[in-house]
Amino acid sequence: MLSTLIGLRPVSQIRRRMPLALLAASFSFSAGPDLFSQDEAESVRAYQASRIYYDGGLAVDNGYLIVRNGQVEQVIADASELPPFIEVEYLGDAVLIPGLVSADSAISGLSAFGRSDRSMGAHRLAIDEFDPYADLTSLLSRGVTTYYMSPTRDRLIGGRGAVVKTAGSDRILKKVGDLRVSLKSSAWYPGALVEAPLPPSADNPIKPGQPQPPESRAGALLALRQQPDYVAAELSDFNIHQQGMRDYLAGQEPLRMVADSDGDLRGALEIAQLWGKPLVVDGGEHADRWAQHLAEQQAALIFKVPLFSQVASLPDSWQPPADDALRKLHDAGVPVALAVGSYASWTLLLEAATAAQGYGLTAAEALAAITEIPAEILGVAERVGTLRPGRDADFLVMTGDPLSQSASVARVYVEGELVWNVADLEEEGERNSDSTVIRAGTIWTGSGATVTGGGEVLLRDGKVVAVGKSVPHPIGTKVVDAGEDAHVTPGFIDLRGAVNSFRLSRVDPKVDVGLLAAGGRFQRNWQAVARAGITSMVLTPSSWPREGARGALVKTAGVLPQDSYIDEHEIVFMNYSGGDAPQREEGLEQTLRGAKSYFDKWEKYRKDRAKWEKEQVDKTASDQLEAEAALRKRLVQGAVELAPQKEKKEEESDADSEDSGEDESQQKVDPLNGLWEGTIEHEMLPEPITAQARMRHEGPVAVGVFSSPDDPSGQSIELEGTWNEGEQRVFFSLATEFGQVSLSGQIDAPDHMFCRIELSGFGSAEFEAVRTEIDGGNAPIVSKRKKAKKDEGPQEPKKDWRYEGLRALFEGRGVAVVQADLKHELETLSRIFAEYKLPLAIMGGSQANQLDEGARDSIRGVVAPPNLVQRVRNRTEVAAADLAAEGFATGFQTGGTRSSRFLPETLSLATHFGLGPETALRGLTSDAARLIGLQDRLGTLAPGYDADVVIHSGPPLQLGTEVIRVFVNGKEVPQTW
Amino acid sequence: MRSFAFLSLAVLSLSAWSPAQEGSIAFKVGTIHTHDFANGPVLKNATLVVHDGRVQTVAVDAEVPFDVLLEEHPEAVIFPGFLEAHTSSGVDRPNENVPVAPFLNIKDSLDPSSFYFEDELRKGVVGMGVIPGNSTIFGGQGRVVSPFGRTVEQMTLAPDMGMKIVFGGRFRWSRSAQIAQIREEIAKLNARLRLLGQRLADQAAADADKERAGEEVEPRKEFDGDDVDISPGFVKFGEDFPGKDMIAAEDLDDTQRYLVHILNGDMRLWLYAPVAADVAAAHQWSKEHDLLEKVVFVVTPAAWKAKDILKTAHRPVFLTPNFAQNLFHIERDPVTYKEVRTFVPKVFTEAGIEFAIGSLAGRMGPDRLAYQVSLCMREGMSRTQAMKTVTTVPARMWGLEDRVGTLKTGADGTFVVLDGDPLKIGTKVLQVWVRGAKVYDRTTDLRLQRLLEGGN
Repeated sequence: MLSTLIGLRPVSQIRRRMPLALLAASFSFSAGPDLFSQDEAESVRAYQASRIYYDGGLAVDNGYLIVRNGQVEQVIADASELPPFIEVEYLGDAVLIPGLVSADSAISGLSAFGRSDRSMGAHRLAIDEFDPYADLTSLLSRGVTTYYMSPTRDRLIGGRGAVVKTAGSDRILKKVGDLRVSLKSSAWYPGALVEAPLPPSADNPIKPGQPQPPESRAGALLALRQQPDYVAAELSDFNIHQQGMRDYLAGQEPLRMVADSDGDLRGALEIAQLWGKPLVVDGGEHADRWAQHLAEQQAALIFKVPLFSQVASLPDSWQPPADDALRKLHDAGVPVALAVGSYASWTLLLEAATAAQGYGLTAAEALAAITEIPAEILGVAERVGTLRPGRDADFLVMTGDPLSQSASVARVYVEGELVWNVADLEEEGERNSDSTVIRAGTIWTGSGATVTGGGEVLLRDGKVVAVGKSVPHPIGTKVVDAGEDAHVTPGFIDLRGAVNSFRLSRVDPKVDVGLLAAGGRFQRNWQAVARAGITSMVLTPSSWPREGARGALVKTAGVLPQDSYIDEHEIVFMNYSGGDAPQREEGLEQTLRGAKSYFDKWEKYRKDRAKWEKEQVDKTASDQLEAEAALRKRLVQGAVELAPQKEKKEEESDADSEDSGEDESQQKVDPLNGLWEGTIEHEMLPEPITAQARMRHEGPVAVGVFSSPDDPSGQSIELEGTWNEGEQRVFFSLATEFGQVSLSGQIDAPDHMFCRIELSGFGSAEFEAVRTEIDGGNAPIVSKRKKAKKDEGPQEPKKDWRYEGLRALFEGRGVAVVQADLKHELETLSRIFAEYKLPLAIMGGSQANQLDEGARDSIRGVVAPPNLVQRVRNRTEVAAADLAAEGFATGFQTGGTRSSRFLPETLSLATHFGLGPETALRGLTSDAARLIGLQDRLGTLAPGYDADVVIHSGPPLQLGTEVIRVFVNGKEVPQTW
Repeated sequence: MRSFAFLSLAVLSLSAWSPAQEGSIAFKVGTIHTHDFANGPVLKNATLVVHDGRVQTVAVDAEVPFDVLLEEHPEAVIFPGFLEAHTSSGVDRPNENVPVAPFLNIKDSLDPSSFYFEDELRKGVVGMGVIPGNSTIFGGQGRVVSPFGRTVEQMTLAPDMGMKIVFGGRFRWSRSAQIAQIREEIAKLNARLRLLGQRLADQAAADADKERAGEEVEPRKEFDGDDVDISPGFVKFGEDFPGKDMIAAEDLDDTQRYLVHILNGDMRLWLYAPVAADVAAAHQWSKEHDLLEKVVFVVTPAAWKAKDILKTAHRPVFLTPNFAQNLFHIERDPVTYKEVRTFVPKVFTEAGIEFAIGSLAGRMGPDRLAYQVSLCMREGMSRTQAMKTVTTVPARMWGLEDRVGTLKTGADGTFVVLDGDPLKIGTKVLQVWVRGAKVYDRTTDLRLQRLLEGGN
């Protein structure tokens, strides 16, 4: 329906043409290779975009641009109208506009030297300056696909302009175009024209230079008025300007008058009328005063928008154009093309169009003024300026609406070919690759002020960089414009969640829950949860031992371990409800005491270690000083008694070596026993792994204990293998679920082993291992290695996994979430946790409202039970609402068994029964983050926070509002799997 | 090796005193690089017989005539010598300050006693095309010379090297101004020729009337002492106009006369087009005037992007080195600012363009053709490809392929005797022979001796 409104071409025509095209193809196949190859070259392609400006300000939303052989075939609004089998490139949120047409450029005509020093040179051609080999990337990056080439600028009659394209196969659109005449004072005083006679003779003497006009505006206008007569005159000698002027006056091209002041404009109008030429005024900041006259003479205007990329050297009396200058001209019917004034790069057309809205143009008119209208003024509208059928398929892929400050050029297509792509820069590492700006009517930041009436969030590298009414837009930034109705919130947090296919039962405390969950991450259900707006959830094992179960915060749409969970932060779940109160209390005290002493052991180790390390550093330094002092002393003495000392020394060393020789012969060193260390590198491994093995052998039976310092679990495997004394080879093998793993090592030098690890069916890796400690089967270490018994300082205490979670709490890296409901339970918890200064959040807490002030202070907040909306007697209640009303930070959960996906829906309903929407939102975002101690990372849209963002179709947590799009760690969660 | 070099020097210097027929000599040497690429460019243990200034035989078992002195040097190498296709060295000033000066001839500017020629001889260069520089529009005519002789006439290999026309790169001139002036000069010439033709036609009609009336007719201007042709029909190019076939060279001034020569296609045109866009303009211009067949493109490495034009033009190309970047073209990406290096001779070779390369001997920059060839080989060209650019291709550009650049029967007896491979850095030029006469001998090179042995 819409397409017929657009009316570019009825769809039925395309359909009808299809069989014809097929017929033509088959005919050409039989006709001969030439025709066939032509046909083969035909390419048809469609580009989908969220908006396509096909002609000035006219646009289609969610449309398709169909390009055939580099030309626009059609713009349609409905995917169902696409021709069959067409290849479609989906550009998503992008906006397509025609390639920009610059009505002026600084590419040519700048040279004040190299002038063919005539004041009037109608024969001069700007096209001579055309360089088909020049690199115009900088133009393409700003979206300029067509530009005017100016002839010599600072001359009264500069010459003939040209119009060329920035890329493409047929770049010259107009070879000999308008005649450029400058009325500006910079064209005055051109200097004398000297024509040296060659060879000079009596008949042909050297003459003084001929003065040339103009020296004033009057002189300029006089010279121009004389041109028709001059052209008609019979000159005694050939004059190239006369010839050029003749050609121009006989043709149809317009007259481009560079005119700024009122006097210039009046003169321009007069000369154009006298010469009978269509007038194009170039400049004219104040041309609006002449709007009526310009309109009467059907003149066009190239309006130079004053942009300043530097501090301009303009006089103080300079007046900017009037606020309604362009409005007046437009309403009078003067076609106005926009170009950039001389204080900024001429390629800033999009910026000029944006600025032109300040002089009274609408956005649509401004866009037309840098595309369609300049193309018409330059006489090249048949090929460029619009995306109407048959025009060159020169278009820009913009990241947003073209005239908003947020948008930038992402790609440029000329004749259907991609000629510039911002992504190429990203590959070069030149620009940030990962920026997204989300724009919506309302930004709910979670804490702090809500941005209403339009706001933006900039995400980069997985973090929020800026939030506000208008944020920076780095080049290449993707812009997601959700519209005025949309609301943006931080990602939601489910404080005890689950995903349908993934549920934890009893989990060994050694196991990292986050890593465990990351393994199941490629499943669809996770995505469904993420798409519902739950960007984070806390996972816990289902059974909670007395010392607490270690939960983890998981990002629902992260894929790699490093962006899918937060592992440095512990969330310890404990149960303190029901049962015998004194017994429970004692149990809790006992647990915390145990944890505290375990923590103290670690603290002591940490302090001792730090002290030892400092000592080592000091010792090394003092050793060095001593050694230096000794050396200095020896050098001083050496000058006196060098020879005797030397002899003495030799004797000493002889004695030494004899001694050690004896020692060695006495002590037999076993070649294998000891601690071996090697580093395994393989392409399958993300990074090299250091492996350690303590090996020991008794006869041919070898035993090895394998471990790796890189393995956080600190696990080790004990294997039995064989030792071949003759060949000095050791061999171990192990059957795993992946297949047989075998390790063989060949001792090729003392304390050096060449190893090969083989995983049947997968591959193998070879590495070297060295013995770092020698275990004496019967003898200690050899005498040569006196220093080998290194003082390694205090060692880590043995890990007690039961207390690891609580230890983190003592270290300030986590929070305890304790299930408790009754008043006395809560009071006891509050007291004990305060005693140990540990952070406490309550899960359940239905009687929390009965607590007194003191008890409340040590409770961070309450995680409401999953059954939010309850029927109590005859009333429907939301208990969480009461807790929130009491001033508790309230978070929400789905209970760890049902999918977190429906938490927002449940809350939407709860808002109908007394739960404040604002409270509900905070409970899903900032309050939830505060409850689990991650208030500096999650739950708020502020710089430095994780880029977890949810876009809602309307006010969030209201029935009828949907989640439209979700970003986790700055990346959008795909809509479809 | 060194003792051999001295020995061979001694032997060769002895031979210089031997009585022999003028312009005749035979050499039997270890290696002869004939550069006859069609028939095997290298002969081992072969003999070169030069008789009467020309190569009589070059073969492994050549017969030496009784009156030709044979010299045998089993370790020596004979090589046809390097050719510098295009240079503006060896003249007093390369550029006239009047831009349109097609009447200039480099012969008036050449200085036979210039150290440039002496130096080139020492390096084994046996021919160079000397032509006005690149800072004009119609620069003047060049001349192919060998670097030996007391007068320009003695040096001359070919007097008609061709005309220099400059399409770009002129200091302080934009490309459009340059092209506009070329166009203007030709438009002016055409207009003046038409005026002149009209006048001559009117004169002829008046004379015919007078004759019919029996009156005395003033005779046409006769020979006036210079060598300018007085026969009509001088203008051959372009459309017909009244009186065109009546115009004689004598009727025109020097500038006009040589412009007519250019447009007539009477001379080879060396179009200086330093960058790619200039090549496009020069190619367009020569096609418009139907002169493409006469064109040699003189380019710098910056022109490499126009390789497609150069290829389809099927005309020889001379590549001038850049004084800092030599044969490379180095540019920066305007957005990413990355450096892009292109070795242009390789690009041209791969595109199938016939091209010569030059040195900047006598000026600032790379000054040895042997080095340029070695550089090409380092950048991946074959020895044959690289060697052609400084021997056979320049000869063909000058139309002297039957005389220099290749040692084959009938060619000039011009060659270089070396003590090793011509591209090797330590190789010395022992002797240079031009048309059967020895013009350089290392043993009598006083300046070199002084340099090597000291003294003053």
